[in-house]
Amino acid sequence: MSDFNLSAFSQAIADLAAKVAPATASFVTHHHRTASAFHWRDGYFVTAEEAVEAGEEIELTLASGETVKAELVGRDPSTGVALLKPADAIDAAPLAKADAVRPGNIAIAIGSSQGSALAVSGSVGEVGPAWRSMRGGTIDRRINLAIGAGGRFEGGPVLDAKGALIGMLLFGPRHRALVMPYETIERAVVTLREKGHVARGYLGAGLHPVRDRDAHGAMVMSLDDDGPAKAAGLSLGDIIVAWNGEAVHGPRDLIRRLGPDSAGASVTLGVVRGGEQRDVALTIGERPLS
Amino acid sequence: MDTPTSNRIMHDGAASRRLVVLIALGDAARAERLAASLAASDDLLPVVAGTADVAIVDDRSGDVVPASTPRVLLSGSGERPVGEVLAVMPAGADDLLIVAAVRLAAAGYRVSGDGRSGRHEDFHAGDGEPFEDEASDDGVARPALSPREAEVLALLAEGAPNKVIARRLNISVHTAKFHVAAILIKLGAANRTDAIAIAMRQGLVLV
Repeated sequence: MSDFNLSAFSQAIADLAAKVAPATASFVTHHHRTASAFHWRDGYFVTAEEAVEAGEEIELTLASGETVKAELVGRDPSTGVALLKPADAIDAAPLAKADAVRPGNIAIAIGSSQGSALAVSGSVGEVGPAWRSMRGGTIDRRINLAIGAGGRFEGGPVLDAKGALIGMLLFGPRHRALVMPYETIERAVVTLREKGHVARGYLGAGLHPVRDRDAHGAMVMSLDDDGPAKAAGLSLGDIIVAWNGEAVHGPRDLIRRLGPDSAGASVTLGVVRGGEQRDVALTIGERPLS
Repeated sequence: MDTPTSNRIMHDGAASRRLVVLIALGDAARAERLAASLAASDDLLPVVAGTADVAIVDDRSGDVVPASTPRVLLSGSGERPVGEVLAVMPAGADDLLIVAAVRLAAAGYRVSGDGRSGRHEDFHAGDGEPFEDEASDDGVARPALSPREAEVLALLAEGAPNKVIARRLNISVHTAKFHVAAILIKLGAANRTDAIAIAMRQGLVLV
Protein backbone atom coordinates (compact mmCIF):
# COMPACT_ATOMS: atom_id res chain seq x y z
CA MET A 1 0.00 0.00 0.00
CA SER A 2 1.49 3.30 -1.10
CA ASP A 3 1.41 6.19 1.27
CA PHE A 4 1.29 8.59 -1.69
CA ASN A 5 -1.15 11.39 -0.97
CA LEU A 6 -2.40 13.08 -4.12
CA SER A 7 -3.80 16.05 -2.24
CA ALA A 8 -0.52 16.62 -0.39
CA PHE A 9 1.39 16.34 -3.69
CA SER A 10 -0.89 18.97 -5.23
CA GLN A 11 -0.49 21.29 -2.25
CA ALA A 12 3.29 20.86 -2.26
CA ILE A 13 3.54 22.02 -5.89
CA ALA A 14 1.22 24.96 -5.29
CA ASP A 15 3.28 25.91 -2.22
CA LEU A 16 6.52 25.88 -4.23
CA ALA A 17 4.90 28.08 -6.85
CA ALA A 18 3.56 30.49 -4.24
CA LYS A 19 6.96 30.76 -2.59
CA VAL A 20 8.68 31.78 -5.83
CA ALA A 21 5.91 34.06 -7.09
CA PRO A 22 7.26 37.24 -5.40
CA ALA A 23 10.52 36.85 -7.34
CA THR A 24 8.72 36.91 -10.71
CA ALA A 25 7.53 39.74 -12.91
CA SER A 26 6.08 40.20 -16.38
CA PHE A 27 6.27 42.66 -19.23
CA VAL A 28 4.41 43.25 -22.46
CA THR A 29 6.15 42.08 -25.64
CA HIS A 30 5.62 43.56 -29.07
CA HIS A 31 2.72 41.34 -30.01
CA HIS A 32 0.71 42.52 -26.99
CA ARG A 33 1.50 39.28 -25.23
CA THR A 34 3.31 39.02 -21.95
CA ALA A 35 6.51 37.23 -21.06
CA SER A 36 7.95 36.40 -17.65
CA ALA A 37 11.11 37.52 -15.89
CA PHE A 38 12.54 36.65 -12.50
CA HIS A 39 14.87 38.05 -9.90
CA TRP A 40 18.39 36.72 -10.34
CA ARG A 41 20.27 38.48 -7.57
CA ASP A 42 21.37 41.94 -6.40
CA GLY A 43 18.17 43.45 -7.76
CA TYR A 44 18.80 42.25 -11.33
CA PHE A 45 16.13 40.33 -13.26
CA VAL A 46 16.69 37.91 -16.12
CA THR A 47 14.32 37.14 -18.95
CA ALA A 48 14.21 35.70 -22.46
CA GLU A 49 16.24 37.89 -24.80
CA GLU A 50 13.94 37.30 -27.76
CA ALA A 51 10.92 38.61 -25.87
CA VAL A 52 12.63 41.97 -25.31
CA GLU A 53 12.07 43.81 -28.53
CA ALA A 54 12.73 47.48 -28.45
CA GLY A 55 15.90 47.66 -26.41
CA GLU A 56 14.47 50.60 -24.55
CA GLU A 57 13.04 51.03 -21.09
CA ILE A 58 10.84 48.17 -20.03
CA GLU A 59 7.91 48.28 -17.65
CA LEU A 60 7.94 45.30 -15.34
CA THR A 61 4.74 44.27 -13.59
CA LEU A 62 5.70 42.70 -10.31
CA ALA A 63 3.87 39.85 -8.61
CA SER A 64 2.11 42.42 -6.42
CA GLY A 65 0.64 44.04 -9.53
CA GLU A 66 2.79 47.15 -9.07
CA THR A 67 4.72 48.33 -12.09
CA VAL A 68 8.32 49.45 -12.09
CA LYS A 69 10.53 50.87 -14.85
CA ALA A 70 13.49 48.66 -15.67
CA GLU A 71 16.61 49.36 -17.68
CA LEU A 72 17.81 46.79 -20.21
CA VAL A 73 21.37 46.19 -19.01
CA GLY A 74 22.19 43.97 -21.96
CA ARG A 75 21.17 41.03 -24.06
CA ASP A 76 22.97 37.86 -25.08
CA PRO A 77 21.43 36.25 -28.17
CA SER A 78 23.92 33.37 -27.90
CA THR A 79 22.27 32.13 -24.69
CA GLY A 80 18.90 33.86 -24.96
CA VAL A 81 19.44 35.79 -21.72
CA ALA A 82 18.49 39.45 -21.24
CA LEU A 83 19.40 41.27 -18.04
CA LEU A 84 17.08 43.91 -16.56
CA LYS A 85 17.66 46.33 -13.70
CA PRO A 86 14.50 47.74 -12.13
CA ALA A 87 14.75 51.31 -10.91
CA ASP A 88 13.45 50.39 -7.46
CA ALA A 89 15.00 47.78 -5.21
CA ILE A 90 13.12 44.48 -5.27
CA ASP A 91 12.77 42.61 -2.05
CA ALA A 92 13.02 38.99 -3.17
CA ALA A 93 15.55 36.36 -2.19
CA PRO A 94 17.58 34.85 -5.07
CA LEU A 95 16.63 31.29 -5.99
CA ALA A 96 18.97 28.50 -4.97
CA LYS A 97 20.65 26.48 -7.71
CA ALA A 98 19.13 23.06 -8.33
CA ASP A 99 21.21 19.89 -8.19
CA ALA A 100 21.67 17.94 -11.41
CA VAL A 101 18.37 16.81 -12.90
CA ARG A 102 17.57 13.56 -14.67
CA PRO A 103 14.97 12.71 -17.29
CA GLY A 104 11.69 12.04 -15.52
CA ASN A 105 12.31 14.46 -12.65
CA ILE A 106 9.45 16.83 -11.94
CA ALA A 107 9.92 20.30 -13.40
CA ILE A 108 7.73 23.23 -12.41
CA ALA A 109 7.60 26.25 -14.71
CA ILE A 110 6.67 29.48 -12.98
CA GLY A 111 5.50 32.61 -14.70
CA SER A 112 3.79 35.87 -14.15
CA SER A 113 1.33 37.80 -16.28
CA GLN A 114 0.33 41.29 -15.25
CA GLY A 115 0.22 40.42 -11.59
CA SER A 116 -1.28 36.93 -11.95
CA ALA A 117 0.88 34.05 -10.80
CA LEU A 118 1.33 31.24 -13.32
CA ALA A 119 2.57 27.72 -12.66
CA VAL A 120 2.53 24.44 -14.54
CA SER A 121 4.20 21.17 -13.70
CA GLY A 122 5.63 18.58 -16.02
CA SER A 123 8.84 16.70 -16.23
CA VAL A 124 12.37 16.89 -17.50
CA GLY A 125 12.19 15.08 -20.82
CA GLU A 126 15.83 15.01 -21.87
CA VAL A 127 19.17 15.80 -20.30
CA GLY A 128 22.12 15.90 -22.64
CA PRO A 129 25.65 17.23 -22.81
CA ALA A 130 26.74 20.80 -23.55
CA TRP A 131 25.73 22.16 -26.95
CA ARG A 132 26.36 25.19 -29.06
CA SER A 133 23.52 27.52 -29.96
CA MET A 134 23.07 28.85 -33.49
CA ARG A 135 24.65 32.12 -32.41
CA GLY A 136 27.68 30.36 -30.99
CA GLY A 137 26.81 30.30 -27.29
CA THR A 138 28.01 27.36 -25.22
CA ILE A 139 24.98 25.97 -23.41
CA ASP A 140 26.16 23.86 -20.50
CA ARG A 141 23.52 21.16 -20.71
CA ARG A 142 20.71 20.26 -23.05
CA ILE A 143 17.56 20.15 -20.94
CA ASN A 144 14.27 19.68 -22.76
CA LEU A 145 11.01 19.66 -20.86
CA ALA A 146 7.78 17.73 -21.27
CA ILE A 147 5.52 20.46 -20.00
CA GLY A 148 2.42 22.35 -21.08
CA ALA A 149 3.81 25.84 -20.64
CA GLY A 150 2.37 28.57 -22.86
CA GLY A 151 4.07 31.64 -24.26
CA ARG A 152 3.55 33.69 -21.10
CA PHE A 153 5.97 31.40 -19.25
CA GLU A 154 8.84 32.33 -21.56
CA GLY A 155 11.69 33.83 -19.54
CA GLY A 156 10.32 32.42 -16.27
CA PRO A 157 12.12 30.16 -13.79
CA VAL A 158 11.96 26.37 -13.97
CA LEU A 159 12.18 24.67 -10.58
CA ASP A 160 12.89 21.17 -9.38
CA ALA A 161 10.85 19.35 -6.73
CA LYS A 162 12.72 21.18 -3.97
CA GLY A 163 11.88 24.57 -5.42
CA ALA A 164 15.48 25.14 -6.52
CA LEU A 165 16.28 26.75 -9.85
CA ILE A 166 17.09 24.51 -12.83
CA GLY A 167 17.16 27.45 -15.23
CA MET A 168 15.07 29.70 -17.43
CA LEU A 169 12.31 28.57 -19.77
CA LEU A 170 12.77 29.27 -23.49
CA PHE A 171 11.04 27.87 -26.52
CA GLY A 172 12.84 26.13 -29.35
CA PRO A 173 11.41 25.36 -32.78
CA ARG A 174 7.85 24.07 -32.84
CA HIS A 175 7.35 25.64 -29.44
CA ARG A 176 9.39 22.98 -27.69
CA ALA A 177 10.15 24.00 -24.12
CA LEU A 178 13.80 23.98 -23.14
CA VAL A 179 15.76 25.19 -20.15
CA MET A 180 18.67 27.59 -20.32
CA PRO A 181 20.68 26.06 -17.45
CA TYR A 182 21.56 27.99 -14.28
CA GLU A 183 25.30 28.02 -14.90
CA THR A 184 24.84 29.31 -18.46
CA ILE A 185 22.68 32.19 -17.20
CA GLU A 186 25.23 32.90 -14.50
CA ARG A 187 28.05 33.34 -17.04
CA ALA A 188 25.89 35.53 -19.27
CA VAL A 189 24.86 37.71 -16.32
CA VAL A 190 28.47 38.25 -15.23
CA THR A 191 29.45 39.38 -18.73
CA LEU A 192 26.38 41.57 -19.21
CA ARG A 193 26.85 43.26 -15.83
CA GLU A 194 30.48 43.93 -16.67
CA LYS A 195 30.24 44.99 -20.32
CA GLY A 196 26.56 45.45 -21.18
CA HIS A 197 26.95 43.11 -24.13
CA VAL A 198 28.43 39.78 -25.13
CA ALA A 199 31.09 39.59 -27.82
CA ARG A 200 30.84 37.70 -31.03
CA GLY A 201 33.58 36.66 -33.38
CA TYR A 202 33.81 38.78 -36.52
CA LEU A 203 35.16 37.92 -39.96
CA GLY A 204 33.95 41.02 -41.78
CA ALA A 205 32.37 39.08 -44.62
CA GLY A 206 28.87 38.75 -46.01
CA LEU A 207 28.20 35.08 -46.65
CA HIS A 208 25.83 33.01 -48.67
CA PRO A 209 25.34 29.25 -48.63
CA VAL A 210 26.65 27.42 -51.67
CA ARG A 211 26.43 23.83 -52.68
CA ASP A 212 28.59 22.64 -55.51
CA ARG A 213 28.10 18.95 -56.13
CA ASP A 214 29.39 17.43 -52.88
CA ALA A 215 31.01 20.59 -51.55
CA HIS A 216 29.09 22.76 -49.14
CA GLY A 217 30.33 26.04 -47.87
CA ALA A 218 29.86 29.74 -47.30
CA MET A 219 30.62 31.99 -50.23
CA VAL A 220 32.04 35.44 -49.56
CA MET A 221 29.57 37.94 -51.05
CA SER A 222 30.91 41.15 -49.53
CA LEU A 223 33.89 42.24 -47.45
CA ASP A 224 34.49 44.83 -44.76
CA ASP A 225 37.56 46.80 -45.92
CA ASP A 226 38.84 46.86 -42.34
CA GLY A 227 37.80 43.33 -41.40
CA PRO A 228 39.93 40.25 -40.63
CA ALA A 229 38.76 38.37 -43.75
CA LYS A 230 39.97 41.13 -46.08
CA ALA A 231 43.23 41.52 -44.15
CA ALA A 232 43.89 37.79 -44.57
CA GLY A 233 43.46 38.10 -48.33
CA LEU A 234 39.98 36.63 -48.79
CA SER A 235 38.24 37.79 -51.97
CA LEU A 236 34.67 37.92 -53.17
CA GLY A 237 33.65 34.54 -54.50
CA ASP A 238 35.91 32.57 -52.16
CA ILE A 239 34.10 29.67 -50.53
CA ILE A 240 34.88 28.92 -46.90
CA VAL A 241 34.69 25.17 -46.42
CA ALA A 242 36.68 24.45 -43.26
CA TRP A 243 37.49 25.88 -39.83
CA ASN A 244 40.66 24.51 -38.23
CA GLY A 245 40.39 21.41 -40.38
CA GLU A 246 36.73 20.73 -39.59
CA ALA A 247 34.21 20.99 -42.40
CA VAL A 248 32.05 24.11 -42.51
CA HIS A 249 28.72 23.33 -44.19
CA GLY A 250 27.59 26.91 -44.75
CA PRO A 251 26.94 30.26 -43.07
CA ARG A 252 24.88 28.70 -40.27
CA ASP A 253 27.72 26.46 -39.34
CA LEU A 254 30.26 29.27 -39.53
CA ILE A 255 28.10 31.64 -37.45
CA ARG A 256 27.77 28.89 -34.84
CA ARG A 257 31.57 28.85 -34.56
CA LEU A 258 31.82 32.63 -34.30
CA GLY A 259 30.50 32.68 -30.75
CA PRO A 260 31.74 34.73 -27.82
CA ASP A 261 34.76 32.44 -27.21
CA SER A 262 36.01 32.83 -30.78
CA ALA A 263 36.85 36.55 -30.56
CA GLY A 264 40.63 37.01 -30.79
CA ALA A 265 41.27 33.36 -31.67
CA SER A 266 43.73 32.39 -34.41
CA VAL A 267 42.09 30.03 -36.86
CA THR A 268 42.90 28.44 -40.16
CA LEU A 269 40.10 28.57 -42.68
CA GLY A 270 39.92 26.18 -45.60
CA VAL A 271 39.02 28.31 -48.61
CA VAL A 272 38.14 27.16 -52.12
CA ARG A 273 39.15 29.57 -54.88
CA GLY A 274 39.05 28.63 -58.55
CA GLY A 275 38.41 25.01 -57.64
CA GLU A 276 41.47 24.72 -55.43
CA GLN A 277 41.40 24.59 -51.66
CA ARG A 278 43.98 26.57 -49.70
CA ASP A 279 44.49 27.39 -46.04
CA VAL A 280 44.13 30.95 -44.85
CA ALA A 281 45.25 31.87 -41.32
CA LEU A 282 43.53 34.78 -39.63
CA THR A 283 42.70 36.23 -36.25
CA ILE A 284 38.98 36.47 -35.53
CA GLY A 285 37.84 39.99 -34.72
CA GLU A 286 35.28 41.09 -32.18
CA ARG A 287 31.91 42.79 -32.36
CA PRO A 288 29.13 43.20 -29.83
CA LEU A 289 26.63 40.37 -30.32
CA SER A 290 23.13 41.63 -30.99
CA MET B 1 11.66 82.00 -58.38
CA ASP B 2 8.61 80.42 -59.93
CA THR B 3 10.27 77.26 -61.02
CA PRO B 4 11.02 75.77 -57.58
CA THR B 5 7.46 76.48 -56.50
CA SER B 6 5.93 74.73 -59.45
CA ASN B 7 8.34 71.86 -58.98
CA ARG B 8 7.24 71.52 -55.44
CA ILE B 9 3.61 71.53 -56.39
CA MET B 10 4.24 68.75 -58.85
CA HIS B 11 6.17 66.87 -56.25
CA ASP B 12 3.41 67.29 -53.72
CA GLY B 13 0.92 66.19 -56.32
CA ALA B 14 2.80 62.96 -56.82
CA ALA B 15 3.22 62.38 -53.11
CA SER B 16 -0.43 62.97 -52.37
CA ARG B 17 -1.41 60.02 -54.56
CA ARG B 18 -2.64 57.96 -51.69
CA LEU B 19 -2.95 54.23 -51.58
CA VAL B 20 -6.66 53.36 -51.34
CA VAL B 21 -7.08 50.51 -48.86
CA LEU B 22 -10.41 48.71 -48.70
CA ILE B 23 -11.05 47.34 -45.23
CA ALA B 24 -13.42 44.40 -45.63
CA LEU B 25 -13.29 42.68 -42.25
CA GLY B 26 -16.12 40.71 -40.69
CA ASP B 27 -15.05 42.08 -37.31
CA ALA B 28 -16.45 45.63 -37.29
CA ALA B 29 -14.60 46.80 -34.18
CA ARG B 30 -11.28 45.55 -35.58
CA ALA B 31 -12.06 47.24 -38.91
CA GLU B 32 -12.62 50.55 -37.14
CA ARG B 33 -9.36 50.35 -35.17
CA LEU B 34 -7.44 49.37 -38.28
CA ALA B 35 -8.98 52.24 -40.27
CA ALA B 36 -7.80 54.64 -37.57
CA SER B 37 -4.26 53.16 -37.70
CA LEU B 38 -4.17 53.46 -41.48
CA ALA B 39 -5.54 56.99 -41.49
CA ALA B 40 -2.62 58.00 -39.28
CA SER B 41 -0.34 57.53 -42.32
CA ASP B 42 -0.49 60.36 -44.86
CA ASP B 43 -0.12 58.04 -47.81
CA LEU B 44 -2.95 55.64 -46.99
CA LEU B 45 -6.68 56.19 -47.51
CA PRO B 46 -8.85 53.60 -45.76
CA VAL B 47 -12.27 53.00 -47.34
CA VAL B 48 -15.05 50.54 -46.56
CA ALA B 49 -16.51 50.15 -50.05
CA GLY B 50 -15.66 50.68 -53.71
CA THR B 51 -12.54 50.02 -55.72
CA ALA B 52 -9.19 50.03 -54.01
CA ASP B 53 -5.49 49.39 -54.58
CA VAL B 54 -5.33 46.83 -51.81
CA ALA B 55 -7.94 45.10 -49.66
CA ILE B 56 -7.58 43.84 -46.11
CA VAL B 57 -9.83 40.82 -45.69
CA ASP B 58 -10.46 38.13 -43.12
CA ASP B 59 -12.01 34.67 -43.18
CA ARG B 60 -15.50 36.18 -43.01
CA SER B 61 -15.15 38.73 -45.78
CA GLY B 62 -16.83 36.61 -48.47
CA ASP B 63 -16.91 37.90 -52.03
CA VAL B 64 -17.12 41.65 -51.47
CA VAL B 65 -13.67 42.23 -52.94
CA PRO B 66 -13.05 41.82 -56.69
CA ALA B 67 -10.72 38.89 -57.29
CA SER B 68 -8.23 41.12 -59.09
CA THR B 69 -7.58 43.37 -56.08
CA PRO B 70 -4.43 42.41 -54.16
CA ARG B 71 -5.38 41.29 -50.66
CA VAL B 72 -3.86 41.08 -47.24
CA LEU B 73 -5.61 38.26 -45.42
CA LEU B 74 -5.89 38.24 -41.65
CA SER B 75 -6.54 34.61 -41.10
CA GLY B 76 -7.27 32.44 -38.13
CA SER B 77 -7.82 29.30 -40.16
CA GLY B 78 -4.78 29.16 -42.39
CA GLU B 79 -7.01 28.36 -45.38
CA ARG B 80 -6.23 30.25 -48.53
CA PRO B 81 -9.21 31.77 -50.31
CA VAL B 82 -9.34 32.36 -54.04
CA GLY B 83 -8.15 35.60 -55.59
CA GLU B 84 -4.88 37.40 -55.50
CA VAL B 85 -3.82 37.03 -51.89
CA LEU B 86 -0.38 38.58 -51.54
CA ALA B 87 -0.02 38.44 -47.80
CA VAL B 88 -1.41 36.17 -45.13
CA MET B 89 -1.03 37.32 -41.57
CA PRO B 90 -2.23 35.99 -38.23
CA ALA B 91 -5.64 37.35 -37.20
CA GLY B 92 -4.02 39.10 -34.23
CA ALA B 93 -1.21 40.75 -36.19
CA ASP B 94 -0.04 44.15 -35.03
CA ASP B 95 -1.56 47.11 -36.93
CA LEU B 96 1.90 48.38 -37.82
CA LEU B 97 2.76 45.05 -39.43
CA ILE B 98 -0.52 45.05 -41.33
CA VAL B 99 0.22 48.54 -42.63
CA ALA B 100 3.65 47.35 -43.76
CA ALA B 101 2.08 44.33 -45.48
CA VAL B 102 -0.45 46.58 -47.22
CA ARG B 103 2.31 48.69 -48.72
CA LEU B 104 4.27 45.63 -49.76
CA ALA B 105 1.20 43.99 -51.31
CA ALA B 106 0.41 47.18 -53.22
CA ALA B 107 3.96 47.12 -54.58
CA GLY B 108 3.43 43.57 -55.76
CA TYR B 109 5.43 41.75 -53.09
CA ARG B 110 4.20 38.44 -51.88
CA VAL B 111 4.49 38.20 -48.12
CA SER B 112 4.59 34.70 -46.81
CA GLY B 113 5.43 32.95 -43.58
CA ASP B 114 7.33 30.47 -45.73
CA GLY B 115 6.73 27.67 -43.31
CA ARG B 116 9.31 28.88 -40.83
CA SER B 117 8.58 27.97 -37.29
CA GLY B 118 10.02 31.37 -36.47
CA ARG B 119 10.54 31.51 -32.77
CA HIS B 120 13.93 30.72 -31.41
CA GLU B 121 15.48 29.00 -34.31
CA ASP B 122 18.72 29.91 -32.62
CA PHE B 123 18.04 27.37 -29.94
CA HIS B 124 17.48 24.52 -32.23
CA ALA B 125 18.85 21.88 -29.95
CA GLY B 126 18.26 19.51 -32.82
CA ASP B 127 16.78 16.07 -32.99
CA GLY B 128 19.74 14.68 -34.81
CA GLU B 129 21.87 16.16 -37.55
CA PRO B 130 22.82 19.63 -36.46
CA PHE B 131 22.99 20.74 -40.07
CA GLU B 132 19.68 19.27 -41.14
CA ASP B 133 18.26 22.71 -41.79
CA GLU B 134 21.27 24.06 -43.68
CA ALA B 135 19.60 23.11 -46.92
CA SER B 136 16.64 25.34 -46.16
CA ASP B 137 18.73 28.45 -46.78
CA ASP B 138 19.87 27.27 -50.18
CA GLY B 139 16.68 27.85 -52.08
CA VAL B 140 15.81 31.09 -50.32
CA ALA B 141 16.03 34.07 -52.63
CA ARG B 142 17.74 37.02 -51.02
CA PRO B 143 14.95 39.38 -50.08
CA ALA B 144 15.07 42.72 -51.86
CA LEU B 145 15.53 45.36 -49.18
CA SER B 146 15.32 49.03 -50.08
CA PRO B 147 18.52 51.04 -49.50
CA ARG B 148 16.91 52.59 -46.42
CA GLU B 149 15.92 49.17 -45.09
CA ALA B 150 19.48 47.97 -45.62
CA GLU B 151 20.73 50.89 -43.50
CA VAL B 152 18.17 50.12 -40.80
CA LEU B 153 19.17 46.43 -40.88
CA ALA B 154 22.85 47.31 -40.43
CA LEU B 155 22.00 49.38 -37.34
CA LEU B 156 19.70 46.64 -36.09
CA ALA B 157 22.61 44.22 -36.34
CA GLU B 158 24.68 46.56 -34.16
CA GLY B 159 21.99 46.24 -31.53
CA ALA B 160 20.61 49.74 -31.97
CA PRO B 161 17.14 50.34 -30.50
CA ASN B 162 14.53 52.23 -32.56
CA LYS B 163 15.43 55.51 -30.90
CA VAL B 164 19.07 55.22 -31.94
CA ILE B 165 18.17 54.05 -35.46
CA ALA B 166 15.93 57.12 -35.80
CA ARG B 167 18.67 59.46 -34.57
CA ARG B 168 21.41 57.99 -36.74
CA LEU B 169 19.33 58.07 -39.93
CA ASN B 170 17.64 61.36 -39.07
CA ILE B 171 14.15 59.90 -39.31
CA SER B 172 11.29 59.74 -36.80
CA VAL B 173 11.02 56.85 -34.35
CA HIS B 174 7.70 56.01 -35.99
CA THR B 175 9.41 55.70 -39.38
CA ALA B 176 12.23 53.63 -37.88
CA LYS B 177 9.63 51.26 -36.39
CA PHE B 178 7.94 51.04 -39.75
CA HIS B 179 11.18 50.10 -41.51
CA VAL B 180 11.94 47.49 -38.85
CA ALA B 181 8.46 45.99 -39.28
CA ALA B 182 8.93 45.85 -43.06
CA ILE B 183 12.33 44.16 -42.63
CA LEU B 184 10.83 41.52 -40.32
CA ILE B 185 8.13 40.77 -42.88
CA LYS B 186 10.53 40.60 -45.82
CA LEU B 187 12.90 38.30 -43.95
CA GLY B 188 10.08 36.19 -42.50
CA ALA B 189 11.50 36.90 -39.04
CA ALA B 190 9.61 36.56 -35.78
CA ASN B 191 11.52 39.34 -34.05
CA ARG B 192 14.70 41.43 -34.19
CA THR B 193 17.04 38.69 -33.03
CA ASP B 194 15.60 36.29 -35.57
CA ALA B 195 15.89 38.95 -38.31
CA ILE B 196 19.60 39.46 -37.60
CA ALA B 197 20.27 35.72 -37.60
CA ILE B 198 18.44 35.30 -40.92
CA ALA B 199 20.18 38.35 -42.41
CA MET B 200 23.60 36.95 -41.39
CA ARG B 201 22.86 33.63 -43.02
CA GLN B 202 21.74 35.31 -46.22
CA GLY B 203 24.69 37.63 -46.58
CA LEU B 204 22.72 40.80 -45.79
CA VAL B 205 24.78 41.51 -42.66
CA LEU B 206 28.52 41.05 -42.29
CA VAL B 207 29.51 38.01 -40.25
